[in-house]
Amino acid sequence: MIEALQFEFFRNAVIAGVLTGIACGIIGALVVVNRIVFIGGGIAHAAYGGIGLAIFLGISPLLGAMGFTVAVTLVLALLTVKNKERVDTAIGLIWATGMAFGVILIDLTPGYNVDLMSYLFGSILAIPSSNIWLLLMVNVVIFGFLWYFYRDILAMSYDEEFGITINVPVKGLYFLMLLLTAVTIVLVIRLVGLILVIALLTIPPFIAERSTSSLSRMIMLSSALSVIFILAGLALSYSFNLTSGATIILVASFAFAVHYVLRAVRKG
Amino acid sequence: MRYAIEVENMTFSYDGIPVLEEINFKLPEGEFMALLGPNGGGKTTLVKLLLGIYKPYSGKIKILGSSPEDAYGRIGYLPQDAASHSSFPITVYDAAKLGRHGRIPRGRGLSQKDKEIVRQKLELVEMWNNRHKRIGDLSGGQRQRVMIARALAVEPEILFFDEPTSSVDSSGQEKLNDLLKELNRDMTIVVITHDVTAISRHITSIACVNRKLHYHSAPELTSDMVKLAYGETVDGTCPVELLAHGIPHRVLPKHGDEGE
Repeated sequence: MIEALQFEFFRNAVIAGVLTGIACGIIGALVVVNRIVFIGGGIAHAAYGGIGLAIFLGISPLLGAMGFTVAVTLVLALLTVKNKERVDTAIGLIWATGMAFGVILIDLTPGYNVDLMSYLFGSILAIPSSNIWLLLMVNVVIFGFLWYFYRDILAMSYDEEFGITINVPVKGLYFLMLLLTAVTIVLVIRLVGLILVIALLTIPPFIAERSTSSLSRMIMLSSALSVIFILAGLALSYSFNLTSGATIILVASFAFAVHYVLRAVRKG
Repeated sequence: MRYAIEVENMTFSYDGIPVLEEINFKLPEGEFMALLGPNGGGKTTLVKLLLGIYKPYSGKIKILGSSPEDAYGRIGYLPQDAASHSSFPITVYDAAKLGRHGRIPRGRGLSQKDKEIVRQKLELVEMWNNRHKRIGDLSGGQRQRVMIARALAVEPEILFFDEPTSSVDSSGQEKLNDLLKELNRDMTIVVITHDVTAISRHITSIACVNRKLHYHSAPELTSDMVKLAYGETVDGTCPVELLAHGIPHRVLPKHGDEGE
């Protein structure tokens, strides 16, 4: 593990892992407390349409996924801004249609594209350094969003309707939050793949939500947990030659199970 | 006269189904109004319209003389399901503090005066000693009191209180009614009551909503209201069925009294 750090690709993977963990921990916490996990799932699967489109057009899959996912997310935000709970149909539709769109476009693209698997299941070890800069930028934007709007985010997340009556700009915040979620998801897909992204986005905040008594501490704990899960998963996948995304998720699930049992025992 | 609420020819529909029709009423400032009606009759919807959370399909709404949006910061609101988000990581103190948030510019913390107000309101509802507790560790009644403190921390001129469907125990209810009476000295109060037996004896007027609205500027139900809420089978005299449900006689019309 330590000797692996002399390889640039592994150092890149570690840096990407830390940056992804932080972004994921923050966005995951917001997604969980705002109860929009299902919307996150829709965004992640719709992203496959963007990957298909990019491969069909011969442009960078990351770029394609980003553009397509942001567009789909804006549509989703418009459809759901009025009522976040009763939008199952819209999300389900976008979830499946995005995925199907991607599959068909890849069918229509001549030749077999090996890279595809890495989008379904992730390949953190193959992460290019350009992605790291992108991750850094996204982290900076997320930090800025959180710092400037923290109080509004707290009011909206805890009780949206009360928030409206004290002038919290809930609609604008909702759009911004979904956009940042989309961007984060697209970058995380690179790491654990689109099928598993939701687990990484929700397990750390689930643990953190129950263990803290403020949103800011929940966000910090959930980021720390994400980083730990990603690095531990990375080390295990390197040592035992396993798929990185699946290993990371299993580490997180194991931690959740331990947390759950410990809590149950403590409560007696 | 100054009005806390003015609603003119307001209608609202949801997915093409009319929920509220031709709502007209004016509530003078300083009143303590109970808003009743059957479940699904549109009580909560009406309150969300008054708060500007929903927009009317047609007609006009004024709160404290201006549009609901312009009255934000002067309105205190207790949502019905405020207590439901119980796993949220927030302490009693931080939840009550949210009431001040609309008054502080972004990037600045609470002033000494803001903190003093939050403390006062938490003491008023007897939750100051629990201020470090997590909201999720409180009982439903305690959570509701924190939400009252939060609404009062806004220092509102009008308080909308959507009572939870599951009622608080009767001694808690009595205390709550006394507190609301106290508060009524400084502000207009609108209580949305789901449990007719729990109507406060301090109310000064009643509105009954079931798609349409009847307003009565005295603390008793008129026979029109009873008809509106519970159907035409009631002949306007003593609705035995309602009494059987435990509705206090003081709010029912007397025999032969046609109300308005």
